[in-house]
Amino acid sequence: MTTANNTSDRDNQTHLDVATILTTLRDEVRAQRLAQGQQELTSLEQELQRSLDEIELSRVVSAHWPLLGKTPLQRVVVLINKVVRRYLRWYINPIVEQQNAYNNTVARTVQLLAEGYLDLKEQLHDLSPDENPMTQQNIAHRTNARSENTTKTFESLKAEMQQRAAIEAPTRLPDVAIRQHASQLRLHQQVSAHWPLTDVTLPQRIAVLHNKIVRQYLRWYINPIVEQQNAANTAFTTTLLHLVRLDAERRAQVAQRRAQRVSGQKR
Amino acid sequence: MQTITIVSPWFGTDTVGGAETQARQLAQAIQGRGVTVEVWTTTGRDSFTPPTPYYPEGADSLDGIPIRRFPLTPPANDPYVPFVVAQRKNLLPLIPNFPDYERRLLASLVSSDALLEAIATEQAGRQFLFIPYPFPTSFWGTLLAGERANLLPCLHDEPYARYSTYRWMFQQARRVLSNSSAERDLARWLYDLADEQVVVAGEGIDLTPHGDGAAFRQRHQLDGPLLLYVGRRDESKNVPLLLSYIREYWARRGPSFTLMLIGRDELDLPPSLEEVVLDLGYCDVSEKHDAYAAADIFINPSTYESFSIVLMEAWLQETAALVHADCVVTREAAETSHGGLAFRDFGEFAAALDLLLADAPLRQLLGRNGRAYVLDTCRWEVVAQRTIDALHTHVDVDEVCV
Repeated sequence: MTTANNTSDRDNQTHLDVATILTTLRDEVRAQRLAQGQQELTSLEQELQRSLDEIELSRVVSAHWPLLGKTPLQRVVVLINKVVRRYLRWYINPIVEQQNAYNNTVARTVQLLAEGYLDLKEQLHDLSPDENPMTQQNIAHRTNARSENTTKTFESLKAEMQQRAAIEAPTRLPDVAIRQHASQLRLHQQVSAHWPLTDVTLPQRIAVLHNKIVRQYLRWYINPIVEQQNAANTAFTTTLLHLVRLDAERRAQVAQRRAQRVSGQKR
Repeated sequence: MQTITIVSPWFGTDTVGGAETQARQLAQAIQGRGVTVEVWTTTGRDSFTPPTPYYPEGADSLDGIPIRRFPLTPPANDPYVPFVVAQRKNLLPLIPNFPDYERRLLASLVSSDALLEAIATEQAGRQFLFIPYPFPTSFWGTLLAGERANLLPCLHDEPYARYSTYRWMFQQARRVLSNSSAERDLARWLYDLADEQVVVAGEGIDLTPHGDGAAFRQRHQLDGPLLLYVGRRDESKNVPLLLSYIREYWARRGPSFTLMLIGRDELDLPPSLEEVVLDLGYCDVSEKHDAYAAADIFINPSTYESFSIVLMEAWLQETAALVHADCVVTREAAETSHGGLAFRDFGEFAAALDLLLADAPLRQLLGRNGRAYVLDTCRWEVVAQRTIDALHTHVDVDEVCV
């Protein structure tokens, strides 16, 4: 119990430190957003941000948490546990690493979707009647300042393109990164407890044979855990891919409204 | 003169893919120059279909080219050395100890042990030409063919091009034939190849099609500015980026254009984007050339190209082009031909569209420049002769490897 209490105290201390750091960071981000003229986060969005922070804190699974013992008996138990854990690391660590790779992809995709949501919110805000970033003057500039001289050199054409590009309002397009990460989800979602065990030399062959026997014996224990995790991973992937498709459709709808508004201004 | 034996994982009437189309047209062109050519391939269809037999095993022919089809060896989960290689004790010491993940990639791709056996035992009087580079037929074939191994890699600057397996394979090849000078530079840079080992043979296209743009517009009831993309509609070709750019351009400029997409694979298009994006799916060759002719601007956003047949086909129909600046091959082609512009980001993409959509004479000028470039550089008879010369000129691999 003493060990457990010590661990719990340390965990609380660590949690407090992290909580303080996160609060400071959130205040800085809030100040930055306001300085950039972006809207302040609503309470729901702040809750979302806290959940994202939690994902970041908990996405890495460790197979090597500290094992501590105070009494002689506890130390003996800890020593045995350390030996067993060290003995089984060839088996457990790759499973944990595969899950971490998937968790990392999920965390990044969720983070990007949240950023994408904020980007959409900004776009909708710009569509409100009192906001008009695409002024009539701006549109006139783009439609009238066009080349009428087709004999211009190719180099001058490129230069004109670059000049125009320089005054084009910046765009974020978070969905490009979202799609890239989403495509990785299916690649990482299946964790395997039975990856190939390779051997070249005679000692390696002996070790591999031994490991195969141990793995075969332990499959009653490990395989159901991995299968349950894989079922959860598949569900996460499917849900995230639906969210990505919904995000794409919402973006197209907002673009449609922005386009209608620009067309109205042109007329 | 020795028989040129083209080795490709897939080859046939129903086979699609850039390298596969190139292999078919090159074989015809080589035969047209009076040189004996043969194709060795598997019974598989193409990279878009599962690795199961599609064509019958044995002798076949296409366009008058003799074909030998060997049974497929399906992809494997674990790395392996083909039996024909393993039983040749003199070859095994030559193979470096490649990383496990690199050997796994090789094992995961379509091969044919029987084809490799034929390469090992029927070399007399042949020069082999392996296309494209990533497949076991090319990797193990290059090892087995030795002094008779030549690569037509269709190399892109993609992550696995940096694998030590492929570096080793390129260095073993007697000759490497590139489709463009940019591809040659990439091969030399990645694999430390000497000048003499890499030859720019180029690539040809069929120069005869004349697309009917007006008929295409009428058939599909299209008017207004038309943009066109042709090819695989996935991330490897940067299509999601194109769709995002198009969506943002639409939002900023209003609905004054249509982007047409042609390709065989499924496309997950948001319904609301269908107002400006038209998915035409698969089109036959005639319809595709009509679409090129109907388009005002052809866009190729891909950054992984060793030549870009679709870009050349669009230029053949005098359509101005817009390509991604991060693809050295298409950017160089656009800058050399003066047939199009290259964009690096959304700002340049939007600026290029503004300039081109507003100026029909400018588009026509770029389109004519593009066509002149294609007629000058994409003649199959010239490409075939360069290929024949490269394969029949003596070169000592030991001397040219750096």
